[in-house]
Amino acid sequence: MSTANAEQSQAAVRSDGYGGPRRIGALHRLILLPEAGGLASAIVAFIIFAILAGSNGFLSQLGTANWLDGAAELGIVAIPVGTLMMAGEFDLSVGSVAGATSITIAICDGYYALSPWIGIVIAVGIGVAIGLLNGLIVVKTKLPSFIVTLATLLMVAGAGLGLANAITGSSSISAQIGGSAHAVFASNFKGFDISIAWCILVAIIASWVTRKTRFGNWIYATGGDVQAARANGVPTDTVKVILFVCSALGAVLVGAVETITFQNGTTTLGAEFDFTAIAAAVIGGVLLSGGYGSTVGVIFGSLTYGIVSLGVYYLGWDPNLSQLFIGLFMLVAVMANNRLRQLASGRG
Amino acid sequence: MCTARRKRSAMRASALAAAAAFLVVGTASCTKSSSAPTTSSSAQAANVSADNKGITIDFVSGPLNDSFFPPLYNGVKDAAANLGVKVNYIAINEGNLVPSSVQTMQAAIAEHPSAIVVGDFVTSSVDPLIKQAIAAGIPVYVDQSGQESWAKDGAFGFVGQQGGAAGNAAAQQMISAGAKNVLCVIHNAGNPYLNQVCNGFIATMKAAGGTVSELNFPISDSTNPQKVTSDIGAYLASHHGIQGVFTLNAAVGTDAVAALAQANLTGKVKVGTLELSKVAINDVQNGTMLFLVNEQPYLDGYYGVLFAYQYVKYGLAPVGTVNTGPSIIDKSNIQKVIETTQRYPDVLGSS
Amino acid sequence: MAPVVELRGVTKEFAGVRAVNELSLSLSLGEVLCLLGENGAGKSTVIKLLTGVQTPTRGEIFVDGKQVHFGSPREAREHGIACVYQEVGTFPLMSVARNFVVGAEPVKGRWPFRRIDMNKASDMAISELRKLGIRRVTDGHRLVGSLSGGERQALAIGRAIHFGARVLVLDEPTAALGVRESAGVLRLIKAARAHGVAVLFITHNAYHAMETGDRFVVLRHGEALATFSRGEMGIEELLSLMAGGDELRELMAEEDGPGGLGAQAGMP
Repeated sequence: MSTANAEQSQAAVRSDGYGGPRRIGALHRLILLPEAGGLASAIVAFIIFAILAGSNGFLSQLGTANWLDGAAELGIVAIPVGTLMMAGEFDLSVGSVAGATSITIAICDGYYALSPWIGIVIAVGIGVAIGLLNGLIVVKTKLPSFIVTLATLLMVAGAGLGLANAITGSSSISAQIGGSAHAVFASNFKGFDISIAWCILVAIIASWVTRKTRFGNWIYATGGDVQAARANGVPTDTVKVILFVCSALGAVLVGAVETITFQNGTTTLGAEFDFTAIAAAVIGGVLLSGGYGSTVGVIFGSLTYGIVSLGVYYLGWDPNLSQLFIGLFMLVAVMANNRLRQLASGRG
Repeated sequence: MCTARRKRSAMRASALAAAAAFLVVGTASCTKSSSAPTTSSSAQAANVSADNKGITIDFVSGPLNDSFFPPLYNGVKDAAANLGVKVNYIAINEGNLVPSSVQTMQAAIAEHPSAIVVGDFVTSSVDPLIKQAIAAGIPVYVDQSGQESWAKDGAFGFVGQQGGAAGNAAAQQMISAGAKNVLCVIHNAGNPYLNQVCNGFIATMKAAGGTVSELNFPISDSTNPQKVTSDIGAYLASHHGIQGVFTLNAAVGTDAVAALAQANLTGKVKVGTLELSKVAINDVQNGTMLFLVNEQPYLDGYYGVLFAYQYVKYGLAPVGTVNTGPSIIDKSNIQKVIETTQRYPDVLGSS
Repeated sequence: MAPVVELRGVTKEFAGVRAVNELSLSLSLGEVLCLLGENGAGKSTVIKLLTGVQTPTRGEIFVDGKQVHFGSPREAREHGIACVYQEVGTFPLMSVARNFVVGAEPVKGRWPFRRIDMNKASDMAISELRKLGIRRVTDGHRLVGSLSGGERQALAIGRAIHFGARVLVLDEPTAALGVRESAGVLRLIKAARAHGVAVLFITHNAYHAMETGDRFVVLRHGEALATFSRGEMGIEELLSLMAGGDELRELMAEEDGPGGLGAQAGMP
């Protein structure tokens, strides 16, 4: 910001009476919420597709279930990834963890004919291990988490592929799983997957922790200014490691849900989440620099991405243009969010 | 204050510009793939086109960033234009193959078109959805992949080729050329169709007493020619005695040719590939590539739409499978291929 | 009054460089000690020694008359020594209430429903700000980013005092502020002193120091060049001392002699 601007805003503050409370209306107060940008994006996305594709089945029960399921699956992993971003770190390895989960469950059930729960337990163990690995490397070496988790991404993906090929000779294994595992991770009601319920559960837990608990305050402090947080006695290293484990567990959960729902295990399952989780978080108002954001915002971001990425199937457009459209939409959504945040932090 | 206001109106301007861009893009592509009247001028044709306007076909198949599918998509577009029907091409995301295969099919079912043509690449996930579509009253035609299960699912037909047959045909070419120790390069691990091709290749080679080794690399590398060339070159350098290299798409095939050239092995090691491309055709013509397996994706696209249309309208369909491949292209029949690609560049393969 | 914190003959060396040399300082409750000096004088090293970031190579530190050894910043904090950094220390995207209680959040309810008592946090923050003379901030849920620089300083200082700091180390709090805001901070320092804490006010602005200080130490090359109380030195003399004083005059005088600056510069 130029010095002219700085002085002007200082003048504005002074003329208000040394930072006195400005009268803000109800609507303005709503815009100040971190969720506002994500909510606006989701509403606009829905309206656009309702108009363009409503008659093609987008608004039908099956159509709604289609994008809602996709949004819920994204939400399951985007919420912990977004929470980690609020603490100032990135996790790019979630896709590989989901893929590792997928192939583990499929091998246990499909190849060794064991109970799928054994595969799930092993996958949880793998997730915790990778989360700890990511977290400890980041806090001990102080390397950027972007790089560390990029390395983990490649290592886990490679290990998963190698093991899958070594054990079964293939990296894509059918997983016809029924019984209790299916009921828990893949049951379906009129087209609406149980992934929606899982996403809501993850959201409730994350929202409670970030908004109400001390640990949540520590998350924001760690992301806002890690030195200051530490100076105030916040155990920033512990906070980060715990959140890395959480993002890995989110990946394990979505990996289990998708594998059992789609009845197929593959090492590449969830590779998209590496970027879509971050995109959902950013659209939902989480700052890339950390220290700001909300769980509800991430949900709105996931809804937005779900609507847009699946709604394009109902448009009947040339497939090249659908890609362009998704990209354009994301860009505008993020720009709008940025603008709202400028208003929120008093520079409107 | 002034700068703040200017900034605000600049933001508003760019927001409006983006919104305008949407609407332009939206209306442009809406008109692009909606039905076009037939080129015939007879009154009967006009009647047909009036009927046909009510027919919509959802074609669920692969993405256009995979070089196999643009010719297929061209076939789809040509058929849609010639028949005067509306076709919605729903592209599966290969980077997220399994979930996308399911979601695209679910979207097609939700649209409730007159018929669905689907590339059943991940049968364990998509077969249940084919059954669901049929139970909902939407006839399904399976295209290009899913040759084992289409009948069980209740689909009314299949057009495409057997992945295994493509592998067999390729293996025969290698054997005839005297290559017994061969490398199969898999650029997209996890793609069931390509696995079938490779498995067919391996089976035929082994039956003839040959040996096959496999080279896998991640799909993200496969679009980087330097990486692919050096990966193949490195493999050849560390595994002596390889007499042939079989690749599963034309880009990787031409990279293999480059790798051989770098290692001074041109002519000593035979190269063959699935799929056609302009460069690959040239390589066959000048002898650096031995053969191409032509899956004729244009026909997959065209026939898919055609057969669905005939079934919806008249209840007629070919019985059983219609094979669009594999057909082998080598130096003996390269001339016709060259003529076609010069005249119609997007029909046989990528440019 | 007995000093609350004392440095006695403290020396700190880093890899052959002596940042602080045989320095003795004392801070007493209800008193402002100004630490003045140019860049590189050793002020930041003094801060690090007091706040436990570094340990002395030689010499002792005393708190309440007893010798202490700070192994970490947390130990220094536990002894009541808090450092308030200039820009750092508040979280602009968090609310006033949250900012105030970071690391020491008041809770209510029982596990697993233990949550922050945000109303209590807000009340604490507003009341501490009021004690420091900030009356205009009344909503604890405002984002700290919407507060002025002076108000943010007040928040950081209020927090430190509230959570038991007896010694406030203020590192250049007025350096980036304009006149009006600086005045606000200087008022804060006086209010903190009235609260009964000891304030170590580090600055290179002699005017600000003279406004608030009870005692002064001018640091040069890690040593105390001058130590005096309020009233013992005038502003002109202080400025001259800080600018280099005798050493500067000597260096300028050499310019005319052989081998002096003039000759070195190639002048006849």
